[in-house]
Amino acid sequence: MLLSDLPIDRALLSAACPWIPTGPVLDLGAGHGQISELLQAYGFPVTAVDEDTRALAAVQAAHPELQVVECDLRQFEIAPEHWAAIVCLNVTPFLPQADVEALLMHLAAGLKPGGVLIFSGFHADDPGCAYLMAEDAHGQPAPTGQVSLALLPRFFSDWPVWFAFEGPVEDDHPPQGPHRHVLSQWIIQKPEVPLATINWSALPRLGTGMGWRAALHEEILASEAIEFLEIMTDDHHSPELDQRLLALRQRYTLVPHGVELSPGTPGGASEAYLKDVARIVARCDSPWWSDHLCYTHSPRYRTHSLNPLPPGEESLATVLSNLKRARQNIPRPLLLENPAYYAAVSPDPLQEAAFFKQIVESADCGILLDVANLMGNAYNLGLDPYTYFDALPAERIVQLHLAGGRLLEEVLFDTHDRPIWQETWELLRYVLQHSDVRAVSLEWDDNYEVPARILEEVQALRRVQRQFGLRL
Amino acid sequence: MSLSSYQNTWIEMLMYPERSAEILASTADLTPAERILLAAVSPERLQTISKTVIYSRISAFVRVVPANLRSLLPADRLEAMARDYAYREPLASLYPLAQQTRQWLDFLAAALSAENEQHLRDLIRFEQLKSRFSHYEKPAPRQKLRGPVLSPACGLLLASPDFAALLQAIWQEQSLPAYDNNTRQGYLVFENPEREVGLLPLHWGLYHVLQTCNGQQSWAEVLDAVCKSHPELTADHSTLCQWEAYLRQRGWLRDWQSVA
Ligand SMILES: [Fe+2]
Ligand SMILES: [Fe+2]
Repeated sequence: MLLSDLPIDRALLSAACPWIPTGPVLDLGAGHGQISELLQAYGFPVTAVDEDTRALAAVQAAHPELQVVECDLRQFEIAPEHWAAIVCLNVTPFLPQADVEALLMHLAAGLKPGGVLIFSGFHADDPGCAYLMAEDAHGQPAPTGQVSLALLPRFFSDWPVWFAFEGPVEDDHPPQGPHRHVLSQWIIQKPEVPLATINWSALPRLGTGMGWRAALHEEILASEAIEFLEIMTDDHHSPELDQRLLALRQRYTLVPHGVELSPGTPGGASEAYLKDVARIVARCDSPWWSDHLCYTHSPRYRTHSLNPLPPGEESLATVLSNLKRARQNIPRPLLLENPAYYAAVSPDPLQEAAFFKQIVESADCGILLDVANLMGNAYNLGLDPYTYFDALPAERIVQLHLAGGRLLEEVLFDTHDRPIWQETWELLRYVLQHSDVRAVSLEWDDNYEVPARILEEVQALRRVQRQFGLRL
Repeated sequence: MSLSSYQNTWIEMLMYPERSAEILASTADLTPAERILLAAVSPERLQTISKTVIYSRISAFVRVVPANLRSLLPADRLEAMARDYAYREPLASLYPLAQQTRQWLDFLAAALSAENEQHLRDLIRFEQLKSRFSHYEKPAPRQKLRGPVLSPACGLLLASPDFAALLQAIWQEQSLPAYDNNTRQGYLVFENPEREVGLLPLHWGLYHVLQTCNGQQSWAEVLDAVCKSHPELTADHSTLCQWEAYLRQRGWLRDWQSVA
């Protein structure tokens, strides 16, 4: 464990926000509420707990949106696996040692998987530890409670440690004036639970949605047709954009959809990339995430296209190994989308359907069926989209994409800037009748001039989805 | 290695469709089935796919060019430079965006080499600095340094004295001001917590001092060293000394680095 030379400060807490997963945040011993205020302003719903009536009243008056609970920390019941983060700064001096250790156990239990604990307490070398600063359950003075980094293995044994500090910190407040403390501090993350075998029929039903696009933000917010939003994972790698996602998440179920996983490339995506995606998926707190069954790059070249993968043993082994790493890093169900094909990658298109089926079943993935891509592939390769669909495992089809395309020199391209083709609508009806999809979304990536027309397309999708059996 | 060869070959055929037969013939490491598949794509179809695949790559590079710069470059010229970059750097990606965009903008700056394009090169350096600004870092231990370094919310720029006027004109969509291509002026470019970008013209001595700050020397030591190599700065020593407190108070200087 690498020790920090410097203690936790406000700037560090503020910078940490994008790595706190989505969910409620608890500020135990909130005092005058500076930390609660910071986290609430970032976008987290915060509960501030303290027994100082006056301080809490002031906090509540200044921030009516904060949930404020006035009680002895020991009386506050920390619900198990509920909190996305718990901040607990220097309250342990006021608890006897036995209560400090009970509190650490409750903090560990109270965080949800992936949740973050931000903790600070007096170390045995703190001058305050020579006094009876604590109060026992009967209100009697008791020795000051102490903590140290040595407690981490006992209470948080396999938690990744992001930040650890133990040492002197200068302080200056009345009545003592300038003085010194010796603190133990840590920021640690509760491990995620590895993904078990997925029960595909238990995934939630999200209804109808569309890809969120900045150009359509206002219209999307105003539309009643939109029940969930898909966000482009690869547009959100910068933590600077995190607050936008957090704000959208307050209102919508968000599903991240990426284009750079490239499961078909030997070696696949980098660990850094997978960790970035994991942060975005945690922020969206989504029931699943998705990318494509394709390769975007080879050892010598990188494209910004989704190139279809030829079925075969080597492709299968490559994809399965890449998806295993993805699953280890991102413990949520993954859906794979069928990309657009402009040239055949096998002598028989049905071989691709069989390959797709084999991959999703072996890797325990779901299918994001792009109905427009399927229709386009049928046009471009001369296959029967209905036969192709029938060869897929219907119970794995979780989400559908719909979009319009353009015909360029006899090839149908998935340009996402046109109304959905009539033939695609027909195929959609068939797909809806023969599967139990949870979500249908429109992809629209250009020609934003008439937003009402685009949202009317979502509305139409919703009608068809309701008509053909989506149970919400 | 057959899968990698297949992928290399297919993308190469898309990048150079006019040489596709030759490319296919010169690739040894393909299965007979892969060879048949690749050969089965008609030259016309290959051309059509090639156009969109190349266009996707080029437009990905064009899209990440900052709007300020894009507004000053004719679209076809920018596209031609993006195409050039895509072919010269076939493995260039856009992940992580800020880092990869910097390389692409370096390429643009080198390509915009005419004397009367100094304002574009200055603008590129400015945009590259901006892309480094960050208010968020995953919590990690902080190591104390012996002296100050610039924080990641600001950076140093050397540009024309007319650069601020140029930016104003771009932001307000006015015609561009006369631009001194030869004189260089140091600036501190910063972003405040409200994400507004500011430009602070720096005394040339201060620019040197900030440029020398690397965390290994105190402000006073840096200042002494700079005054020693530029004796004409001695008269400004006490003024330069006072800047430290202001820069620290604005959060632009700090004495630590994050060690992940
Ligand atoms: Fe997609
Ligand atoms: Fe799609």
